[in-house]
Amino acid sequence: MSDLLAMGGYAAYVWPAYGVSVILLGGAIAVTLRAYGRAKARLALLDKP
Amino acid sequence: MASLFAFANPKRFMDLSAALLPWLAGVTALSLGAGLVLGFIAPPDYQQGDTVKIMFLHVPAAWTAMMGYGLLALASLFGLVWRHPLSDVAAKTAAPLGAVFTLLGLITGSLWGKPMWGAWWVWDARLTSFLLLLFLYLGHIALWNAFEDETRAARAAAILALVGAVNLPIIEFSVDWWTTLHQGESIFRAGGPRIAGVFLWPLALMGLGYTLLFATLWTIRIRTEILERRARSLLLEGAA
Repeated sequence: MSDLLAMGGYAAYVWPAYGVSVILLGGAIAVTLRAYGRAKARLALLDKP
Repeated sequence: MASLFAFANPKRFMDLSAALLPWLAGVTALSLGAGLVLGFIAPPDYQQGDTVKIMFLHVPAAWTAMMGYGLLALASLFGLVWRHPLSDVAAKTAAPLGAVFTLLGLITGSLWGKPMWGAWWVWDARLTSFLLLLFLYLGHIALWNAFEDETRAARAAAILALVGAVNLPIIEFSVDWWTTLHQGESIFRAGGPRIAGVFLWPLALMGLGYTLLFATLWTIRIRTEILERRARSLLLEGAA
């Protein structure tokens, strides 16, 4: 386990790379899904007679 | 060609993409999950040590950034030539996604460059042309926001996208044309990949996962834009 964390001495580069990837891609997913949900809700509201 | 135009019908697109989305999202999650696991259990490289694990993030991000720009340019071409509104929507929604993957390629590349080359950044051909890709994406987003009229915005952005497409082969072949710190092509080369299987598998799965993630998010963003336009026209009808 601690071997994995140490990344053969390169932890300071490997883990930030994974961290920033998770943050940016997770952010893109969150923003996309939120806009999608809002658009669906707005249209549902307008479509009601 | 006829089938492509049928797919470009917004109604048809909504039906087809609704059926496709769960599968797209599912295979994306599976590839990324498997790729991450195989990536973490891969041994350290004999030269690069454990920094090889950054490759599983960097190469897929850079590949997806370039593929995304190719698709953006293709959608722009369709929009300019056939004036199809769905092409404009496709181009508009691809740009912010492509920018995210480009930024990821730059950041993970920098985090890989520091321990391996001793520098966060060098102004060589590969890195500079890839930075230009980020500016092309950002320029495309800015152009869309600069015009009030959507048709004019789409046309201006499409012209930028097509002119900028010249940068794609420059990025791709920069490692052959100029002397650069960046390593050359090691996967899609004559004679097969020059990379061991324990690294090739996680790399391929992550590459597939990133590609499909782009496809999934792009599809959702196009659907969002179509719904928004429908809502806007309903509002206009109501006001009339």
